[in-house]
Amino acid sequence: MGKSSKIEKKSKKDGKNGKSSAPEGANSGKASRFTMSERNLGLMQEIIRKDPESYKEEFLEQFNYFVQTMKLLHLQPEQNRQETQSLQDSVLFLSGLAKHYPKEAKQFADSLFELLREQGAGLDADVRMSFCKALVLLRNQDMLDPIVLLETFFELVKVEDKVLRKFLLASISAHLKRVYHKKKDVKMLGRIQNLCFSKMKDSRSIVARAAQLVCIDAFRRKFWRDARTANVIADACFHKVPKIQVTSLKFFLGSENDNGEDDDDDSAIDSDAEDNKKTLKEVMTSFRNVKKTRKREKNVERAKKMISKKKKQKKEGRSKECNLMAIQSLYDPQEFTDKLFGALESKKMDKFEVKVLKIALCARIIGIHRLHTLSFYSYLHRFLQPKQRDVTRILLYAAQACHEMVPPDTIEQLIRVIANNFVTDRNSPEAMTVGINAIREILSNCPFAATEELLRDLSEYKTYKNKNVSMAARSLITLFRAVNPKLLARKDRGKPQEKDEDEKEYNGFARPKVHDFVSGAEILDDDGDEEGQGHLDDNDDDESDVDVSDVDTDDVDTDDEEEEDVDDDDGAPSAKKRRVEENPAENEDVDDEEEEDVNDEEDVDDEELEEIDDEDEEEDVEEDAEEEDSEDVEESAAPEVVLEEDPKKKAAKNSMDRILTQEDFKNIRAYQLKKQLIGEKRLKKQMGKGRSNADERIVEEMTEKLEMKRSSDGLARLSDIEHFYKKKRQTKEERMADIAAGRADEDYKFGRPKKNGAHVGRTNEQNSKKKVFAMVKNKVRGRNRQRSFRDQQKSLRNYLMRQSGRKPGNA
Amino acid sequence: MVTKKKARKNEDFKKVKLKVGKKLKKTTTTDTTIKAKRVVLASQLEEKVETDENPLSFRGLTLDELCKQMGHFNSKVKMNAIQGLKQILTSRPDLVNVHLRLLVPSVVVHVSDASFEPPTRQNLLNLFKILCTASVQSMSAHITLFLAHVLRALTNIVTEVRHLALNTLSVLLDRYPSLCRNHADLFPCFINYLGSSKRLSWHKAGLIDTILNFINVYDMNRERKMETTELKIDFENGKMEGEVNTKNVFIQNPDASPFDFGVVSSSKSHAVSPFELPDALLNLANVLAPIISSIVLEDAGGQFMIQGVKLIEAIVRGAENQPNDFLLKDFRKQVYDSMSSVRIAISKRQGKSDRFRTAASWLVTSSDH
Repeated sequence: MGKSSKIEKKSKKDGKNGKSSAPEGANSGKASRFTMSERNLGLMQEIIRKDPESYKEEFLEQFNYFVQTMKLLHLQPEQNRQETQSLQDSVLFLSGLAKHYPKEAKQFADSLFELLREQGAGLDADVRMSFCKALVLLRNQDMLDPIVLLETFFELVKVEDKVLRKFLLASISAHLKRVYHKKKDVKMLGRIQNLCFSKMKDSRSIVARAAQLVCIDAFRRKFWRDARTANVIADACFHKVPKIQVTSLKFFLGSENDNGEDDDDDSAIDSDAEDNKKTLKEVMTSFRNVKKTRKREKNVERAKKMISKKKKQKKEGRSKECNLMAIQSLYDPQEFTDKLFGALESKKMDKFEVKVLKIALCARIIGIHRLHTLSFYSYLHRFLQPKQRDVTRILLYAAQACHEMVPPDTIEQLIRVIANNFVTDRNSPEAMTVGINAIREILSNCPFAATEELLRDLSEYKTYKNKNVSMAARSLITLFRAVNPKLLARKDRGKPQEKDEDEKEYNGFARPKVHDFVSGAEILDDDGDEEGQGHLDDNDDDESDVDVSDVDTDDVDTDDEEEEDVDDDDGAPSAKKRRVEENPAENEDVDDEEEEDVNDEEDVDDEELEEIDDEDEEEDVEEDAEEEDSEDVEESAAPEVVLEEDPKKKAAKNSMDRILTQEDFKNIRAYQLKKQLIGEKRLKKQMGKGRSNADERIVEEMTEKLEMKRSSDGLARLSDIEHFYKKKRQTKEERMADIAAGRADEDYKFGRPKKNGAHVGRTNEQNSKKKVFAMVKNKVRGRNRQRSFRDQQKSLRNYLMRQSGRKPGNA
Repeated sequence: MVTKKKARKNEDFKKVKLKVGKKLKKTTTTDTTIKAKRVVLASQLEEKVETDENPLSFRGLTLDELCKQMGHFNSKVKMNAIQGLKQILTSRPDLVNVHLRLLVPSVVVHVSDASFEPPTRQNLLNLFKILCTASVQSMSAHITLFLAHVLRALTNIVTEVRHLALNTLSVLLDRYPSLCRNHADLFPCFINYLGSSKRLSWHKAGLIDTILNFINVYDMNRERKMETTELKIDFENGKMEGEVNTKNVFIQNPDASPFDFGVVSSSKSHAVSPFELPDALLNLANVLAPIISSIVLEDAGGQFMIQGVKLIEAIVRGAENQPNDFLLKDFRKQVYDSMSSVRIAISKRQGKSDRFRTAASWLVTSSDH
């Protein structure tokens, strides 16, 4: 039928060419050719799409219907539910085919625009939605100007229709994505951006909010990741509507559960996503086409869960990575913070939640940009009470707002307030723990604010009866052992150790340390010099590489010495290496001996311990030169130190004399990583003999934290403040919830879960016996008919014999 | 084990438990607070009384309720409502004029309702006929909406709906020619319908009649004579000289409201009938040509003979008396060309085509144009 109709169409077309465009109805007597598609618009759409030119008449008929309906809508905006259905159908039909008929498409779009603008609010929700969808479809086919559409959409946002608003925002984002990815149309992106920015200043708050959401979304998804967008969003922090303020604040603060636990596995997620590229759709289609078994079903469920989880994580990661960038790209952070803080201090009453958010943003910007907003700290004093709502957060913000450039006396005041309000015996142990943790965080940011008196007071708590409090105090002590042991009481200082001064950024408050060399450059061999001068020697280069990696994997205890060894050998690294490999065993022996010595003299007082330490240093010939702690170093060590080449000098020489290559920097980085491990080891050593597992844990956590701070924005996390050594006992409900959560993704490898239902535990045969006979009758009958030929004969014979009055039998 | 019964019995003699921080209620005071609740009686139970203004249908429903039921989603309910409305309005024809504002929006929507059964459609058409008994004045306010619905239904995809719309349109054209003439959209829409492949086939009842009605509506104007009468208006003295009633001059349609001046009115078709526009007429001729030719060729019984002749005559008259034919180049030639299929048909039907031939004499002879 299709073929014949097409031929007919062709001939008709030819006929038409001769005549004018007058309508014709030559086939009046015949029934419609498309009886099939008459009532089915979808089918008709398919037919027309295949050959749009010859089926123009059908399209025009539908178009006429649409035009008439629009006229009716102008007369009577409210319509019956059933009426709207037909209109929606025809709009869908027309929008699907519009690209074949540009002239009609223009008229179609114009009439949609007109109606939406004039009576958008009065229209039926479904009709409005279908209009918007049709317009989006037209835009995707480039049938209309996207800017006009966007303006209409922003106008429509003010209609009170949640679904519609959601759709509008989603479609705007989708369009941005399209422009960004497919067309790379920078000009268009800029135009849309300008439009959105102007809409952000709209007097109607809902329009401004929509524009804000678009901007935030575009920033997060990298369509408009630039300083301009960030600053426009920042301006919205001072909008008169609190909801818009909050959205902006939250944008800069990142997502809720931004605690930094999974900060560094973003990259892992990405690589994971690359590994298993199967999308949800693929999984579902592959499942649809296979035999359904219980196992496959289970696998699909699991895959779905994994995919959604990954998606969620990715989303969160996105928000995390961008908020730091947004804060960093503020044009004038000092003015912004002053303004925000002014809004906080002003008479206008905010809700507490909004206030907390503003405090948080202030603190974060101060921390990241190292600003001076000194009244902020005294403003915080009033909130620092144990009974205050969300006090742990406020403590966290106080810690985040502290940095090296704040005058120590301001910080000291803050710390004193916290100490007075939280760390007293009459408070609950939780409050004390939180207080000490907060003080530790603050002091780790600005160590110069610590006073001896306060620190000694606080370190008294290390023997407090509550484990949480005592551990918090111990971690504070551990921190100062690393930072400034002189402030601690003598017995808390632990074993004195040399410190690497080059890690420090500041000598004192406002006395930054000036580096005249690349720290870690001392590990580079001198043959690098030759290399720099043009004597390329691949072998040497490789070997120096091997050295460093070797050292990395080695036992930390001996690393120090090995490293020095490697540094010492100038000319022949390969020859020296063999010696190095023999060395560790010896050194370890030496160490062990030392340990035993110490064990023997457990009761010796501190002085003696120090002495032993010093002897230790003496015997370790490889000890670094010490400048600051010269008091601890004995005179006897000095000549040997002089004999050695000073690593700092060497580093300075290395970094000044030659141009460092990528390879060199890689080596330096590896060395620095290794050094951190040494730091941990050293801290543990410093604890001395009586250290417990708990102490070790503190040290580990601290080094971990330091590392994390170095890698990310360097701000404290809530988990640091709310850190309890001993977890609180869970209630029954919490335990049950945990168990349920664990069971959710449990793998039923052994045995499957019992199903519910009356039929459970029986075979199909057993089940069939319980059935009503009428249900299984046919089946039984069918079984009858499958008798063998012999059986049939037999029963026939029996039947005939019975008929003839004889007894049926086997014979 | 304390049973419920026992507990209730001992209620008054319960031992009062003392608790720290809890105050006991004093037994000597009386609780004077009052709790009040409102009882809302549904109006459903209200007794309905049949009055002169408010008649009830057989089922005891008022006009208002019936109109509401017309919007019900169930087609059975709608069917019953149609019958109820018919019954009330036939018994009280005077109500049609009064309640038109209520009736038109709720009833006319259903022209394009595809869910109806054929008998229900017939009922609906009858109801429309009843509605059309309303006077011209009262209908003049609602004709726009009415026609908008009908014209929309004419473009509907379902055949039955289009059929019903055509019949309704026929009724409207018959009853309110003057109002229909003022409707700007009617002419192009109807031409469109006739031109589309989905219109009713020619021999089905209703189509030809509707076309004739349609032509009549627009044709009437054309018979207006161009009179030239001199009228002297002396504004200074406030006198008029001449035998002319100004009301008759300015208002061509005596039924229309006296304030609807042809000069002032925005509706274009009032001033100029489409019959006086050459391109409109040409469109009409183009559309009608296949219908007429099929009448000529296929009408064996001859029952459409008279109508066919009328159609031809109408077009011929329109073409001959065209006052504005200078607007379109070769107007007569084009009309002549458009009717070529009719000419061929007439020449084929030798026997019975005499009347056609006389009617179409202009077409046959004017080949020299």
